[in-house]
Amino acid sequence: MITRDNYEEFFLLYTDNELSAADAQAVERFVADHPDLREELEALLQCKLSPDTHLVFPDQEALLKPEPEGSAETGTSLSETGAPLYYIDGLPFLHPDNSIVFPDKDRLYRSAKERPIIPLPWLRAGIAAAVIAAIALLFLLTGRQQPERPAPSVASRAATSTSITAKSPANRNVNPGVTSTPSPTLHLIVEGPPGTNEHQPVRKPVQRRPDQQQDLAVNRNPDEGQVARSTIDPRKGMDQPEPAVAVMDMPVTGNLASDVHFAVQTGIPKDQSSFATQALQDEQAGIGRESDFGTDEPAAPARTKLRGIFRKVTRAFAKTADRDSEGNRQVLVGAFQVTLN
Amino acid sequence: MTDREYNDCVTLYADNVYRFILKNLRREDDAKDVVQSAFEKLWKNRGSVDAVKSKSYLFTIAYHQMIDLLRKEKRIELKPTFREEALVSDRPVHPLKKILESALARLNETQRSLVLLKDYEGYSYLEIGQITGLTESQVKVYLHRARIQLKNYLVSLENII
Repeated sequence: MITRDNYEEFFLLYTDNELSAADAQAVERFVADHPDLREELEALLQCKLSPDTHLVFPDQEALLKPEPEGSAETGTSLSETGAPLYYIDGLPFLHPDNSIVFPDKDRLYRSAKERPIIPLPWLRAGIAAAVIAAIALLFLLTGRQQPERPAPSVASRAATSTSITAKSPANRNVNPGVTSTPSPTLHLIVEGPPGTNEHQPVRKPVQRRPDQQQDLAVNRNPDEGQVARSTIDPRKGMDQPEPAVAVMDMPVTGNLASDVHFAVQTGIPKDQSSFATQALQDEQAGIGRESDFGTDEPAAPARTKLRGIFRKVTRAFAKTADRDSEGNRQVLVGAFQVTLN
Repeated sequence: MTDREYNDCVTLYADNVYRFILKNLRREDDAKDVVQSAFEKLWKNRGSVDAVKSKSYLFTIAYHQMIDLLRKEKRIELKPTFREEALVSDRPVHPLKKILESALARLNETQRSLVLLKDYEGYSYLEIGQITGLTESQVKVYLHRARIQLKNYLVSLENII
């Protein structure tokens, strides 16, 4: 409903042609009924702009694009038919030749499953290699010794006798605190049972006080007929030397400054003796040589085969003090020198 | 949109877009550039533009390019170094039309564009809103204010005369 209060909005909508036909007629009737408002409506209608038809775009031809010839013949453009069009500078000229295919397409495929690459620093790699090598050597050495264990070999019995000797009451009398005495004497007696070709080497280092450097009778099991006796004091010489027993008095130079006596059964030819006997003899001979050199290393009981293995491993993986040009430390693995980043 | 439909758009709407832009910018060279740029964009996007909506698409592109150009001019603050003949010279027209042209120049860019789109092209409020990015009610309010401003200018000038 048009009134004097809202006629202005109706006039504006009438000017913009936004009114329906009924509303437009209502406005015309309202103006007819109110002639004083006619001038206002005519003023709004005069403000309407008419397009300047003389203004035309001068370069209209430049905006036109040439139409494809194929589409001109068929009456449809290529884009309507679904075929792609390719333009350079607005001109269609090329169509893809789908007959050309890449022959070795299979070689370009890649499988999604790839092996993961785990970064391993050199130091960790070296430690891991050393541990693996040590375990492997241990397995190899223990694997060689295992077949000998079931057979009652001389070495095993010798070891048994050694353990027995170590636990004998005679040894218990030895005061362990005496090891720090200024001139202890080490006595090692290995004595085989009389009347048998087998020898049972026993190497037992005993440290005694000087005032106790007397006979040290190590009683073994009398049922086995084995007697370990000491001929001990080098100053007194050996008491009652047995023909089947050779006693070696070897003074040990070094910190211990003690006398070592080795008694090894030598009545058996080396070619007729068992492997364990030969190994023990070789080992004892080696100890004697080392003792001759006067090394500062501890006594023989600390030298085991495992110790030798670890020494070999540590020699194989030695850390050098050299540094390369970039200041990185280097590790010697066998004959190769590896730089640690 | 096919190539032929695009060319039809050039034939039908190039003058309209040019007129709309020229009345706003009042510089022929800039108006030509805007029109060419709008049609170039229509050509590139002809695959996604429906032929029915091509006219409003052209006006939308041209309007936004014109606004960008006007904002750039405001930042640069260009001096009127254009040749006199490059400016839109008022040819011998009706005195009332000349007064309307001067009144139109007093409107801001948005109001002037709304008046031109309404009077020149006859777009509805909704279509003008789609072109300019305004809501229908905003178009209505802005356009009514522009109409009243034009009427007041016209009436006041008549009173002076």
